[in-house]
Amino acid sequence: MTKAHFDDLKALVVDDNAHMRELLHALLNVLGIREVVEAADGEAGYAALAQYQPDFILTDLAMQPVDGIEFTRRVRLSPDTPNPFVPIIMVSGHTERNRVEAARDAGVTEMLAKPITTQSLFARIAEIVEHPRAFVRCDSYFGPDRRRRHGDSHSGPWLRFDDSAPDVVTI
Amino acid sequence: MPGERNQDAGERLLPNGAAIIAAENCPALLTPAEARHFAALLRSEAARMRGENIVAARKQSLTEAVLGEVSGLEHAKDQSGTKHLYAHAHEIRGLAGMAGLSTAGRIANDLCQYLDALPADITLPDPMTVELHVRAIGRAARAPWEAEDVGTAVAETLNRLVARNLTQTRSAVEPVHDAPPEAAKPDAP
Repeated sequence: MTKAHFDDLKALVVDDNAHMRELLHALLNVLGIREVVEAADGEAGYAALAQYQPDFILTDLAMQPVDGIEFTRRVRLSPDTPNPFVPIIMVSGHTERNRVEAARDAGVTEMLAKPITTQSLFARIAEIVEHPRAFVRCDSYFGPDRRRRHGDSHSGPWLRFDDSAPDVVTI
Repeated sequence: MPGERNQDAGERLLPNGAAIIAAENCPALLTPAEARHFAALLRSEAARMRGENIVAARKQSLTEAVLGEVSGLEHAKDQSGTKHLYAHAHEIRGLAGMAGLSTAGRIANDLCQYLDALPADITLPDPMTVELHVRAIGRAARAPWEAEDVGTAVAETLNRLVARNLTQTRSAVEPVHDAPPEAAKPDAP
């Protein structure tokens, strides 16, 4: 349900490192977000999602036994998910292309590379608040629209009605 | 399937059978006016300063956490396998920047990337490459005033060592191609 005031927002922080959880918690408090729930891995995070119904989630990637990618997949696709639309910001030191793509394909809303700065964290939260993303549903995916840019830059495949191949100039 | 509750609320079907649910039909966090107000706060100098004060107030405990991970890393380098080594280096790269130990974080990141880049059939990394990274991380974390001066040079030297080591490792594990059959060779003069 849409909140009338941002200090009514609830956040969930999922990270196996207690220092990082505590720091993120404090940074969210600074913004006026009073209700912040912590979980140490994806399993506990999923339980907290059901119990506390947070409005957005900050999650680490590498955790045991359930990592951030599996957690995100469950949030988006599980039949019993409490909120498949909840924005998920993945905060991770893993910036390798394959891991970023895996996170995107699991349904992450935003990525934030560690080490984080206050500015970068706040900018990602501003993004999910101010520019909510469209969602895509198909057999293998449910999550935010993975196409960030619309227009001339897409080089195919042409899956959408408004997709169009670039003009071909024949010489 | 999740999201089906919005099925009749402005979904647009695509030729491939997928559906797009427009952002305005997804549950919003805040009203548009409140979202603009909150985003302005998030991007404000005042919020950034308050956040940086929070980080600064935790610098000592973050430094202690990094030093704990460095001790773990030094212990892990003598153990078999890379699991613990990687885990400690990964924690250091995540925490060091916020503790003001950016050089230690950078070298820990380089060590993680080296371990990530090892071919799948290589179970043990080059001991000397690991040793030099672990020593450099330890020094940069325990004597950050030195790291400011020499950290970049050390990190760049280690990068060159990693690149050379990976090249040698990959060429050692690449399959040897069979020599072309005799019949395919040009006739001897």
